[in-house]
Amino acid sequence: MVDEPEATGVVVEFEHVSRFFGEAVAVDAVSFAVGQGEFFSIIGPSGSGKTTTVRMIAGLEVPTDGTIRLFGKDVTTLAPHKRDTPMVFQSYALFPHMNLRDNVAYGLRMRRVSKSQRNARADELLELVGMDGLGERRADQLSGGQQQRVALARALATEPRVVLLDEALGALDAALRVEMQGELKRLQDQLGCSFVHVTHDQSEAIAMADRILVLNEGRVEQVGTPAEVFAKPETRFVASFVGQNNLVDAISHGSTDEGLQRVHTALGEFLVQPPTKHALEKGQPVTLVLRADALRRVTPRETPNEFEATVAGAQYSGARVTLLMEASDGTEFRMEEHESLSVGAPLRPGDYLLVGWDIGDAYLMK
Amino acid sequence: MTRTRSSIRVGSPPARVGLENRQAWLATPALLWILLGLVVPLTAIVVFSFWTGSSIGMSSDLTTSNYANILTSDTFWGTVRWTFRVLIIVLLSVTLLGLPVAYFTARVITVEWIRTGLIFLLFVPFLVSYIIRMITWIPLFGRAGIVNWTLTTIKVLDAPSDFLLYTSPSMITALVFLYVAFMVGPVYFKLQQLDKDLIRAAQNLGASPLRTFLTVELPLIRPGIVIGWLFVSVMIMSDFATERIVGGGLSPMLAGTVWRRAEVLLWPQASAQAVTLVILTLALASGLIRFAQLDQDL
Amino acid sequence: MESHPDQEDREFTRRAFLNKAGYATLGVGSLGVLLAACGSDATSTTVATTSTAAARQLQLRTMGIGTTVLDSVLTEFQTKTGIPATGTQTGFGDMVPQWIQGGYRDQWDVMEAQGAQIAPLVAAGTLQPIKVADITHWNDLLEVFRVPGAAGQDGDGHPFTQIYTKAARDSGRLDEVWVVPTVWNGDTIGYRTDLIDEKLTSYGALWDPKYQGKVALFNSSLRAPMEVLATFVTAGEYQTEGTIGNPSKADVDFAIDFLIERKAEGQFRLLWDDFGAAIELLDTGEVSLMNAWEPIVREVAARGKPAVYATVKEGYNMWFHGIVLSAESQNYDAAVEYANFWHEGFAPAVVANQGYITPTPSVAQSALKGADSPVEGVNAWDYWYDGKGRDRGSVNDIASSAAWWWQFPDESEYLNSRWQDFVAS
Repeated sequence: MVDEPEATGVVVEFEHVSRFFGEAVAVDAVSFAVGQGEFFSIIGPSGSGKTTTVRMIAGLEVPTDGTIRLFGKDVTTLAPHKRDTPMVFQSYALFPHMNLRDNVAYGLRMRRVSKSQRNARADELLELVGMDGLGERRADQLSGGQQQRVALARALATEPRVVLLDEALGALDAALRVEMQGELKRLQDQLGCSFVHVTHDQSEAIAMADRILVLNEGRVEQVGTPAEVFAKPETRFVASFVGQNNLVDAISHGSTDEGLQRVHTALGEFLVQPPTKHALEKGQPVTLVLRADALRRVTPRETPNEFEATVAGAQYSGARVTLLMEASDGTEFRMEEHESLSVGAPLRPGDYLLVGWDIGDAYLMK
Repeated sequence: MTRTRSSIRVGSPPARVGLENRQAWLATPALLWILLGLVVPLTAIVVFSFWTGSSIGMSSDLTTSNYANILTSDTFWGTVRWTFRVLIIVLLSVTLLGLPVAYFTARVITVEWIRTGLIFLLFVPFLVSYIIRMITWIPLFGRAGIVNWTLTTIKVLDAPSDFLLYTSPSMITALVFLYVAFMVGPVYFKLQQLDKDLIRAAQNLGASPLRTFLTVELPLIRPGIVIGWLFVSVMIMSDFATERIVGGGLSPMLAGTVWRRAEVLLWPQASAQAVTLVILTLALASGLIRFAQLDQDL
Repeated sequence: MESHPDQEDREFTRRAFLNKAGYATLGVGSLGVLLAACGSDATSTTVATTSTAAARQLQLRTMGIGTTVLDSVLTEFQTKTGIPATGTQTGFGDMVPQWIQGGYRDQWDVMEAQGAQIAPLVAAGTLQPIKVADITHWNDLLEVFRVPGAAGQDGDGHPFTQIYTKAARDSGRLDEVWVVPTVWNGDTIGYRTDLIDEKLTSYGALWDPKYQGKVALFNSSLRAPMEVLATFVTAGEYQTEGTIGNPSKADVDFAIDFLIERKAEGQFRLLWDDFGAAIELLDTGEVSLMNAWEPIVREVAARGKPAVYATVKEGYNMWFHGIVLSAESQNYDAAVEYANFWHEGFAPAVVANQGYITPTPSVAQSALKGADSPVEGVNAWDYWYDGKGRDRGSVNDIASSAAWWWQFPDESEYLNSRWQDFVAS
């Protein structure tokens, strides 16, 4: 078990951590730090190394290279049971041969807390997650959401400084997931512990995370607040993975008098805010990032950035509709708008629209 | 000579047979087969056990004397005690030996085909006949056998040992090696089935590998262990040859005494012993099954 | 079939002596045929039919153990008589059950039964008598088989009383028999002279503490208990109530209690059941001595191990095999021909090297003199019958020193139950 933390405020720290499985690289020189009380989400597609990363925090996988610190202590090769990093699993992983109280009390039992004390604490925690009075039940008598609450209670029972959530909400239906997201945030505020949360679902990360780490093929693509990651993807991968961004190949073509960047694309010539960090040379290839919800139907010359496209299809998600569009040169892109815009004039495939965006709503990426 | 060794066949549960349920009739051949293969011989044995073993052949004069003779025979109960003693020693041994083998195979070997191969290897000996498997014991452990030859060649022993063959310990050792695979199998498959997240959960809740095994894995593979015990018990209860071929025939087990009665044509007496054996085996099996279920409720 | 008077003769308890079903054997090379006798399943040897057809085709279907049901004998019989012959080898313990319980006796004309098996077969009504007049060489049989009170018979008149029908004996006509003897021998103990440095002359060696843990006993209630009785009777330390071969309950108790006591001391290494396994036991030195069959010792000696079959002062455990005729057989004449054939030279020469002896040595003598023995330059007659090779003297010596004949004891069920006490003690 890790001793009292140093007063660094850093709970989990990865320094150039790599994990190889034979020839395959699961995690490649990953560095990041999770602060005290922070809700830290790791997102990425499957196979990106996020589960391996969170397991390395728990000690369930050992890094091939690099250093892992918990509360400032090097725990790189420390056995999992000495870490106090409980994890909540996608499969809930409740012990089927124990009742709920014994499940929740398991960590305390491993710490040799007396039976009466640990049972009292378990009942407290079951109450905390809204499962009071169900201590005698067995896991197989519960719904998925109830099991996940118990799993959470079990993870929290030892008052850990950090709790790991490995796709913890992934097996729940959408409504429950949203409910549990709120629940988790409430508990985090109440308990003040850090969460390291792994998910493939970006909306879950947006809803809960203080910061997000985007992993791809074992490498860190970007770390930042949800706003930073979604509004300003730093790499093409992030841009394509988070939100609904349309990535358009562009070539820098000089600046306007107003200091706007002029770019050439297959869809036409557009004006964009120049990147803040570095100026672009003329003729330099860049990527124009167009968020789907920044695109809208425009009237001619309403904005300098417009092009023609036809409707190819539509996806409805609540009050929002994502239109699949095809530009005149065949480029496909997405546009998200409010459903009410189509009321009275439903769109059909092949319908012609003039599409555009305001200058501030797109940006360039190298 | 008709073999009196009984076998237990497991079939599908009796189908509900109704006019509206014509598919149920498809089960008829299986039911008939079970009836012919199990019920008929068993009934015959029960009936014979109440007949009189007279001079030539059996006579159908009903008697309970076959049972009375068994129940009052010190020799019979001595054999029962010995059989159960051997059974307990063998069960303990196959558990202590089989559990680590199953655990090693399921947990340490990470390559799927090697795992499957190892488990298959365990059962390779069962591709040859029981008798051949037992008889290989003799060139291995006899005075002129490989083990004695090795031990005397490397001067561990001055002279070949008689202890390795035709003794109770050698018989028990043979039984353990003969049946350990039936312990490894169910435990291995239970371990394979076990959700690995449960082990991870235990570990990161603070359980050492040993406590993880004791508090999570062991309770969850217990049904596999009990099934292994069940297999091994039933086989030991019906094993009539190991005690003769490897044990030397001077420490008889229950199934062997039935066989000895049968081979001198005392069939009613043999039948009564067989019925008693079946009852003892069923009692043992139901005890084990109850033990397994009880434990799940704890 | 009419009930024959012998069927009410005495109360026989069914039994078999050896067992063997369910046992395989280690490979024993040259004794493959013998092995088959001890194996679990009956094996069939069929001799091709070459006979000229008679009006009603006679045939001979025989069954018995592999030491007497022999291909070479059946082929020669068929060639000589023109009667098609088929033989089925089966385990010793399986022979009687197959006739009595199995209901298979219509598949065979004759069984080459052992003397002690006759009584249950007769009592079960499975046999028909054979007329003495039809047996060509009957009067050449050794007297012990055919003359009442002849030297070598035991207290109950065996084997004479086992052979003739009760009617033939009671009337004094001696005109019909249940069995025509074909081979016989006296069993004793076999041992390795390199492992035991004295000449054994008594069954007492089996219980001698000097050989503790070095003894194998044959797994039959009809041997070791009788050997115990013979040991003590000869030593003058016990008087049987019954006879050695047909002991009373008290005699049985005496013998079994003694065996249990010796077993507790660790005297016996194991019980042997199987012919092939017994050869291995003596060959590998797993045990130093055993109450054996002569072919076992012969085979071990043939493998180059110094094994001998002892001459014992108590006298031998005598036995014979002979032809019995199924009550349902239509081939009486073939059976008689087969019995006659066994008395002539060919078959006795074939089985001589197993240590088996013909009951008609005078008939077979010339053929035996022309046959080989295990020692080059010595013929089978001189070696086996004249005592030049056999460790225990001539055929006449053996015939005159019976301690008891294998038989079916009155108290066989009690004996068997006490034997189980010994086995499980």
